Amino acid sequence: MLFKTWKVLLRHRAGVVGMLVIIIMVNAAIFSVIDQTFFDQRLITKILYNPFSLSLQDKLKPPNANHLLGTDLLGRDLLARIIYGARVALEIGLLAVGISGFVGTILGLIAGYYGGVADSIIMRIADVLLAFPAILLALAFVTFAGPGLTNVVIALSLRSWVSYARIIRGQVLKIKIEEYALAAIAIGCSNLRIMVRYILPNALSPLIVQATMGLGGMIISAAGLSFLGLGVMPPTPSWGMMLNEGRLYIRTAWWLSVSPGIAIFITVMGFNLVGDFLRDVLDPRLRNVR
Amino acid sequence: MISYIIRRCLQLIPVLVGISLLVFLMVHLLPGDPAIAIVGPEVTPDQIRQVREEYHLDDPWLVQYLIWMKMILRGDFGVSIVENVPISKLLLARLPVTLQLTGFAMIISLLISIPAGVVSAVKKDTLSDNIARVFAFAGICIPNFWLGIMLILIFGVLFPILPVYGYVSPIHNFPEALRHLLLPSITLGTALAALVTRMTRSCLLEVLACDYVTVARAKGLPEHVVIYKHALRNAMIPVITVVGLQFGFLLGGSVLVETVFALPGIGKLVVDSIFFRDYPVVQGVVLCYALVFSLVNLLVDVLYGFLDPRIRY
Repeated sequence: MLFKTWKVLLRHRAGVVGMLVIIIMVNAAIFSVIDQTFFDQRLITKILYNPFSLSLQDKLKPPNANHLLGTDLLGRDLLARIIYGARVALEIGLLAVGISGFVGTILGLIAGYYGGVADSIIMRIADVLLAFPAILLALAFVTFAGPGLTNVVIALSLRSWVSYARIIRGQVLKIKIEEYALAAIAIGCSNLRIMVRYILPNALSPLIVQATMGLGGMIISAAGLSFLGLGVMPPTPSWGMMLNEGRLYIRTAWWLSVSPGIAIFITVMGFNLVGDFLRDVLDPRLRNVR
Repeated sequence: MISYIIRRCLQLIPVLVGISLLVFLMVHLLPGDPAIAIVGPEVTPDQIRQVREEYHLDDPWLVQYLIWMKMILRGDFGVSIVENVPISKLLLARLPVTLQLTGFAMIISLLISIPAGVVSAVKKDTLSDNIARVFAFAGICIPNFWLGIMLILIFGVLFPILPVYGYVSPIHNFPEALRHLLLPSITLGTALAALVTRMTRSCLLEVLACDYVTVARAKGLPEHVVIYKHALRNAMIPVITVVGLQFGFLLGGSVLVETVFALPGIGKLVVDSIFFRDYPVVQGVVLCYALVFSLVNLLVDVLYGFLDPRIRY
């Protein structure tokens, strides 16, 4: 199955582009983790500059041969900070999608499989959460709980589990009346076994597509929170915070606002392209539709 | 139809109760003293005691909730700590700006996206289709706050032809109000335009493959009649639902867009209140957003019922 998907991916040009973008971003993130944890930012200084070290004589330099994307207000190299920013973006995106996917899957399974009161309670909670614009709920949570990576992840997961729960619930409702699910009930399998062994594997395809596309959305939302000053705290480089700093100098230093935005845009585009590809592959009805 | 509307209104009641409960618990369930959350950390013990009495914080939380709900139902959202004016007054002053922004953003996005979607579907696999699809895809991926900054850079710094900050009331000067709202509305509406272009294209392609369209063509009807009278009308039903439901998305997006363009709407109010630690205002704005969002969704559902008589939940 994996080999077949890989072969199809190689024929899907947009999917290949998306996959390349993701590979580059993941490598940038892994590089920054290794460099920061084991080498104390010495690796990046061999090819670029230390993203944390200040150099006031280099402040607000436009893109040039030494600093390919220019420098910020404190003379820090923008390219180095963007590479380090990939780590925060992916960390928040993956954790938030992981948590909301996990919670949404469990609650969606319970709602769809057991129905009745459990279904009503879970879906009414979902309705209430859907009444709040996602960014506003996240904003409210971070306001009262405080900024920082953990709270941003929780804030973003607070509402997004609902989409996963709804998708899984819909799938479960369809699958639980299939003959193989009825056969599993007839031979006396436990509810847990039926849900995990028979229903869940057949309900996963739309969830994978939603998670891939959701990652892009999470990266934008996390950047939005950082942009408002409520995300990851300085000096950790985050793309949203870099944009916020940059917009104050838009008349004199345009490059501060351009490159972090392009980084967000390209990363989100990568995940959406792969999401589109996965939807085409995993949904047989869309295989021949463009 | 009336029973459907009544049923749909009744369904809204538990959601509204849930919304109010969640907004109430935001302050009361999180760690720390809610009195400090309400008035901020720099207060004397006497002031804290006063707030505890005023907000009934020593009563059981259910009693507190009922008292708070009674206030909300009377339109009393409390008083802003920073400005010392009733929050309802602040909301009433700021809400029209946000509604103008979202309304204008929706109009602009529909004016662009529906023709783009139709062209894209009718001229499938041509250059215009490819251009529309690329722009629609880019529109979904672009963060609106960055798009706003780029528009400020282009139209405010490089070619200063449009105002990039502030707000003018349409009652005082309508053309100037439109000019001030243009860039924020494009910023806010781009993602919606992208989504609607994609949806219009796919729905229209689906409808164009239906038998009744073939029959219309076989009757010898001109192509524009087939597309606009027969195909597009049916293709628009799911699109209208999505547009309605996306109103909430636009409301959420307004928080960032108002901050970028310094528009005095409720989105800017909530962000400013966060930085001034004016928590009662944050609570009031969140509640206001959720109420407006729920009522718009109710309206969309009812309208959808009118548009498609088969819809009865």
